[in-house]
Amino acid sequence: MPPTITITVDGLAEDVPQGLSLPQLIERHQAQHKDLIVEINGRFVHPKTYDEVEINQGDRVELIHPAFGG
Amino acid sequence: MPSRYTMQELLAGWGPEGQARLGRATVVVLGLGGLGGTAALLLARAGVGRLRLVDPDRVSLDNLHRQLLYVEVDAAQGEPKADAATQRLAQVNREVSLEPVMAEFKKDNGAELLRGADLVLDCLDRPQPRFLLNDLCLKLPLPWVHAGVVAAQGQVLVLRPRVTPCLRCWFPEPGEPALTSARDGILGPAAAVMASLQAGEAIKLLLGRDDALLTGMLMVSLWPPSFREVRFSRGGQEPCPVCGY
Ligand SMILES: [Zn+2]
Repeated sequence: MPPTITITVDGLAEDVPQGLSLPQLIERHQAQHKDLIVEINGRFVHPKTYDEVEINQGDRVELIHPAFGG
Repeated sequence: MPSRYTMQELLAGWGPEGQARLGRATVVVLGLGGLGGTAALLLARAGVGRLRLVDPDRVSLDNLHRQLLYVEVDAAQGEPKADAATQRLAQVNREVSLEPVMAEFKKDNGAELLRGADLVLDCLDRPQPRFLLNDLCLKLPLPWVHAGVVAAQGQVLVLRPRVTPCLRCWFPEPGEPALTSARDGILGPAAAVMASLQAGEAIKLLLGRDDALLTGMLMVSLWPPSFREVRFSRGGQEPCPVCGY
């Protein structure tokens, strides 16, 4: 078993493998990669930098889908 | 004698001068559903001089839970939304010039629909035309206020060419939306909240109160309740190829 870390996603605690990347987390949540607003610890993550972002112990992640209806 | 606008003229930084500014303004409302109808109602009541009301659709019964401008007879007769909205708004404030346009906002008529505008409200119901609007407003240039709603959540964003990031800064590769009203529905109060926030930003823009505008993307949920303003950051990326921000 790889070591796990505890993070918060959309307000709920979650154990994930250490070294998880942001795209992997997005995939775990079946969130669409495009058209997503991602915040980690209150800071916006630019979509073109997702691949460079690793998730760390205690991170507070928000994965927000925009609503494009009217 | 109190006038129609007394109570809002009392607001700090408004007064008769602010009211005159609103009276000289032309606002284009793209989409007259749960967002656009309610935003237009608020702007007409506030005394915006001219409203161009653009929507290709007709009123139907499943609109009425959230589209506050329309009544049962509009749905029964399948009235064009642009016409029904114009009739209702004329009853609300005869001082406002109303220009109904029964059309879809598209590439070939987009520039024409925005002609003479001071401000645009994006109350559209799909992503694609919103990005078309983004590109047109950058070119003209023209400020606009984006709002969207699906289910019980939505977002509001003020876009000012050369001052703020554009919609493509936030969404560089727009794809199929994860949330759609056809599948996920729309909570009536959520649409009204988003429309009210949008109209509020529009009024501040028209009054020239740039200091009081939203600076980030306001993400709102009614169920569960939350309000959060997300501040844009380029994160070390090259400037946006579309707007240069
Ligand atoms: Zn941009």
